[in-house]
Amino acid sequence: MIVTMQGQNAVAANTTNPNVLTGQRYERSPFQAGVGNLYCTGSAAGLTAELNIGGVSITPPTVVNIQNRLPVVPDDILTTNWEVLEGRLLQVTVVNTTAGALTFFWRVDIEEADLQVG
Amino acid sequence: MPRVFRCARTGMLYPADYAEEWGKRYGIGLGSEPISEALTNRYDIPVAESRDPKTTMHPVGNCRSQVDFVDVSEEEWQEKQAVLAIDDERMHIRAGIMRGRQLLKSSKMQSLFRAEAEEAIAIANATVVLPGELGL
Repeated sequence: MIVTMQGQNAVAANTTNPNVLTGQRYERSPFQAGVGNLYCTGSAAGLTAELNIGGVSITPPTVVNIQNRLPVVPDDILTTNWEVLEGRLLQVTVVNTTAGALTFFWRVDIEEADLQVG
Repeated sequence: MPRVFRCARTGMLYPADYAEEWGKRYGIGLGSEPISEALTNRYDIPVAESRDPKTTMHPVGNCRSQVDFVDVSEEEWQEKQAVLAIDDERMHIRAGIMRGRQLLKSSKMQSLFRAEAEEAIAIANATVVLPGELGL
């Protein structure tokens, strides 16, 4: 089973959005073990994004491409095949480094994974 | 009579070497084909409020529309010459221009910044608007 979230957020000039996934249904992973993909785009140059899972950094602040549309799979992938355990918080932090407001477009897929113990 | 590239959506003009220097001076990060790097306003997305009211505005984005190679008059070139992204990396100039347009067109911006919007509307009413400048 795969769950997906997709959306867009306006990011004001010279500000940080600590987590664009806040309030989303799968902000915390629903699966005992999952494998995820993060896709994102920006409306113009000047956005950076970073992914943290359960407080662990998956990517450092990374420049976002400027396609100015919702992400296309697989073209707009930022980071792929990251692992996430049940209840861990997904956190996508976005920074706008420009003097103008920009739009951040994102998509997160989480696929249920088999968990083998021993 | 300058030969320039014109953005099909906004009417903004770019220099004659726009295609030749694509990816070097112009359009960095916008892909392999020359398209317009002009900004457009996203009125459908709510105003993004920042600490500085001077940068509170609807978000903007690259319009990415077709560019055409055209002949224009010297006056038109001077009037509609675009601010290049490479000359305004942190968007200080372009954000101010786009915010000024938002004050004219967005009721939300007008309600947030009433005095500033009234001043902008008064200036716009005293200025001749060319057809290509409508709807930006």
